Amino acid sequence: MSLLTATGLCKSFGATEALRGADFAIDTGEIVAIMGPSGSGKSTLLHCLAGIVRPDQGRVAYRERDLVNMSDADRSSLRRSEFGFVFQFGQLVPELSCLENVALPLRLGGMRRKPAEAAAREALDRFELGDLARKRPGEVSGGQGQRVAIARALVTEPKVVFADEPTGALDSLNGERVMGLLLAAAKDVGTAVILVTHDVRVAAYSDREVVVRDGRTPAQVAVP
Amino acid sequence: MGIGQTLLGLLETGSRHGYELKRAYDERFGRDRPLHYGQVYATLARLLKNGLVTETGVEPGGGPERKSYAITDAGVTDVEKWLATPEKPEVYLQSTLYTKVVLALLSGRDAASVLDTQRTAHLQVMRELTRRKAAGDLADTLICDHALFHLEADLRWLELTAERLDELARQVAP
Amino acid sequence: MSWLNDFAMGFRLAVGGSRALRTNLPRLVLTTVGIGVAVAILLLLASTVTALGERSHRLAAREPVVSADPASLYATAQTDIVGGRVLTATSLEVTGPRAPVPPGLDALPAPGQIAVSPAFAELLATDPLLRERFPQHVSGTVAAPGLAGPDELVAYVGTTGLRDSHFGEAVSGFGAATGSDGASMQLVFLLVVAVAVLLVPMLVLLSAASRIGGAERERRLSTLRLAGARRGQVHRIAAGESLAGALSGGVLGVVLYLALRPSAASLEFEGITVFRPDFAPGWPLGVAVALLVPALAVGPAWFGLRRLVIEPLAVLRNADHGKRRLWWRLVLLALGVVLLLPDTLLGVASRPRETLPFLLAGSTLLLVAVPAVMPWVTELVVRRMRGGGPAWQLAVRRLQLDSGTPSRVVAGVVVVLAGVITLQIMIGSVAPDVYGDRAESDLVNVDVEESAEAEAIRLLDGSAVVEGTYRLRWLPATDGSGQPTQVLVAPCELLSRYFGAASCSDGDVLAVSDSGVEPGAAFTVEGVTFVVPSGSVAVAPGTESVARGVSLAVTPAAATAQNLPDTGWMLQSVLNSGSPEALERVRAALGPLEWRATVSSEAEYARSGEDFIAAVTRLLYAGGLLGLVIASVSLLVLLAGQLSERRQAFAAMHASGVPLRVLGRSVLWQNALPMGFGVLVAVGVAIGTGAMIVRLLGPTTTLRLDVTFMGVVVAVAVVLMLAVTGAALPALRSVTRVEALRSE
Repeated sequence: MSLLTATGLCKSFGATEALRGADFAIDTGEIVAIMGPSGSGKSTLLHCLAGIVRPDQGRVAYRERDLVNMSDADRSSLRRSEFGFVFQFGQLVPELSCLENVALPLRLGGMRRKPAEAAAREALDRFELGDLARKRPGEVSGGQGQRVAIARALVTEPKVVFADEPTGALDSLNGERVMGLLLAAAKDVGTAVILVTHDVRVAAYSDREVVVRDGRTPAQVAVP
Repeated sequence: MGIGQTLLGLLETGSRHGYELKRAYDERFGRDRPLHYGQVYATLARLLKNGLVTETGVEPGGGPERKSYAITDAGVTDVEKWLATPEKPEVYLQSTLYTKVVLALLSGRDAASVLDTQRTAHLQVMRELTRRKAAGDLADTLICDHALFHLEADLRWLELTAERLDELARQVAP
Repeated sequence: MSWLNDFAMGFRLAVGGSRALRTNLPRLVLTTVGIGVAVAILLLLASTVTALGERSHRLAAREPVVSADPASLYATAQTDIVGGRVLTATSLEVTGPRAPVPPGLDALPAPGQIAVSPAFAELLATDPLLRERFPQHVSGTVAAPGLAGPDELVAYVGTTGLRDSHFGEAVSGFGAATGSDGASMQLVFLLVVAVAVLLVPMLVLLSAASRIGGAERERRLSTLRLAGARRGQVHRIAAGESLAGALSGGVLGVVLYLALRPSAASLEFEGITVFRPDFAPGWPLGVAVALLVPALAVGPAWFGLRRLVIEPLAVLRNADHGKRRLWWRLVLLALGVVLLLPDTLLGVASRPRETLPFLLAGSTLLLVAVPAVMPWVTELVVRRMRGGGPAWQLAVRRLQLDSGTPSRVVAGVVVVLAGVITLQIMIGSVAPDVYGDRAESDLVNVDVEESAEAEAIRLLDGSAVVEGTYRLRWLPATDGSGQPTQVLVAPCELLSRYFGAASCSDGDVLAVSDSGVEPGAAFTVEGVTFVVPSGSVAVAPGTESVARGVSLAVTPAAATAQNLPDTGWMLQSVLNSGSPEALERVRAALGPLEWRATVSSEAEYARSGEDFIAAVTRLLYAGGLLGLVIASVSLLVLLAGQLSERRQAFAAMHASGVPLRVLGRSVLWQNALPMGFGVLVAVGVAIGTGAMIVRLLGPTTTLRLDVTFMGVVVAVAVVLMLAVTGAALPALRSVTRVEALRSE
């Protein structure tokens, strides 16, 4: 049973056609890499799968629920509780401390401050980021920031994590640490990870890859 | 591969017996291709002859594998010189992959599918290497990284080549 | 409950942290100042309206209720201007039992006694002429309930003879339920328009403030969306961010108001003063203002957000706003114009009461149109520009790319300009009509009761300042074609003053030239026919109010010759000087006659009118300066923010060899160009708005432009603008340091 499936996705931005009929499927706990040359529509595919962008045509089903026609409130709710996001940059709120950033999805869901921050602290400790709790994103290094972002993505124990070039701004060693951490934590909880990357060594962390070319995906590659 | 210099390098850290040497070599460098005892002793004999090592002791009842060897000053100098000299960058002009791909592309086959097919194959190997890296120690990590980077290099060359050919095709037949 | 959570989070985001504070501080400061000033203005207005309402009540309370004869009390009132202040003296004659007592008095003054207000008492003590005029014994004080304002000059004089004179009215009580006091109605009118005119710049400033750090804020909000906030949640959080500014602004506003209250309460305007305790907003208005404060803070932010749909990916996509849409700006302008012409275009009666809402709405719309039209004007002009040195080129290209931001930066200053100039035009045009603008005159009118006329003449002749006293008649008549007109019968001494007739002898008849009076024309004066004799002299129309509307002037001999009626006598005295002191001397001389004689002169109204205009213009200078300073400070802050946002571009330019002074000049030009257009638009709109408002205020009001005022205000604005840009230049230096090139 697929956790998340998409068929026939098409999306244009003005005159540019980003997706022209892309398909996708992922099972629980799977790790899938979306690859392709720049401008191929990888990020757009990811955004459609996460319900951030509404495709012009096509279906996206998450656990049998239609994501495309879902109300904004429901989609926001999904983003809070069942999806996690790790992007290349710009995802942490600079005004809040790292601890508050990690607690953010919980707070937005209505949890009170104390329990939310307690859960956030636990998450940070698990990733060995405990002493960064009071610091602001601007005061920590890139690698540390990405790890905080991962902590935030995983604090709600989501079913799917969407990662868009998570190591793009990092050097090799930090990148490796981040990927190792992400995947280990995901495996722990049984989270599926959809990973957009153009870096083959990052894709090597996945179970299989999907190549997007000119807005289209080929038939699914057979896993040997 | 400079087995002699490798053994010398291993001896620099301390004198060892023959069998110890082989084990050390296999652990670090011989995962896929372990050394034969014969190679080890032949090399040791040569080093002995050139004065780069000396025998330091014999265990009772010992054949060559029971002899312990130590590095000499001349040996140390030799190792230093070898380590300080940069390795001539190897230009892999004769790899099979290269030949195959160039032929495929020049004969007009679709660059994208050549790229995708090769990428899939490469990725399978890379996944294996990545898993090994996660489970192994530092030595494993180093070796796997080395392999991974080379594999990545292949793919990047492939992508660039495909793009070049595509552009050429566009210019020729718009 | 979660709504409160969201607001709290927004609040936290606005004031949290050192780095956040650095970027948020400008916006916070601006919002605070904008809201603070707006709240203070609103509270002051509310207080003024309340105080004026109280004043009206007091005036109504002492209004005598006229009844039929016989009554226990007879009264007559005289009002004139002494030393620029209005003096009201009411003479009372008690003729029966249980005579009503005016509010503020303990007992009615007996003949020969006078009850005075505290201000009057003070004046009596210092002005000998006034004492001479009112020699009665001070028997009591008129307390606050009987006064409209603490400085009012009010007196009640006990006297005799009123019952038998037609001057006196029978009074059965005090407290007529009359409608509003005309003067303060006009004042409220002017005030409300003034407030609207001053508030709009504040609103513009607030909306500009809410746009500072806009890019960063959008990113922050879209991050929140990514983390799963709903659209409504994000709007609430954004609103919470503005609440910080609202709170501090509210506090500032109240503090400002309390600080200004004493001085504001003691201001005098058109002779109207108010009691300090009355000067308070009153609960309903106070609460309304308190609710308005968050709305003012949150409103622009909310409004700015509504156009923007915050999606989780807002940061990844740079929406360009397409071509500037002109149509809604023109609609705004057109609507404002339509609203200011309600009588011609909308069929609304042209009474102040009816037109007030239209006036407010129309002038507000037109003033809002200024910052709306300016970017478009700038864009239009700038699109065609070419050439010039590198600094100019940089500036013009930048403006061509995006003229919105610099225009916004300058908008605050420009709107203050437009507002202040509009106000000045309005007041400058209205005031002279309220008081008339006449030259000094040494003629005084003496309105005297018939029985006392001979005595009056005797007293006048005995006064040192009076050169001569003459009797004249002013008779309504109809000319040959049935048109109503006036005939004046006066001795030559007066006629030569009115009409400048070179020689005049008793028996002459003067025909006013442009009223079509020919020798032989016949006039009917109360049934008597008067034929213009052949020897009549043609003269130009007279300028004294007595001579206005007169088409025929006749000397006494000529009047008697044709049996003109012997009624409608007035006295006029020629004084040896036109000074206010001379006027007071005449009044003092006629003091013994009490209520039977009233002395008035044209000049005193004109003078007080001039003083009034001067005072208001000073006030406008001060207010305009304050507004411009506030606008400039916010300009400085906005400018610094603007520089900071473009820091990478500047650093890159500097690193690739563009000298600092060129960059500095380009920033200067970049702001000076919109400023120039803004000033033009502001002055144009102000004149237009002023003209339309003045038209609505009265058919006789004409437009008067004080070019000096406009010139000074514009010059100050330009200088401030240059100063502010200059002050921001050190920021440019720090911004172009190489560190700015490092990516985060």
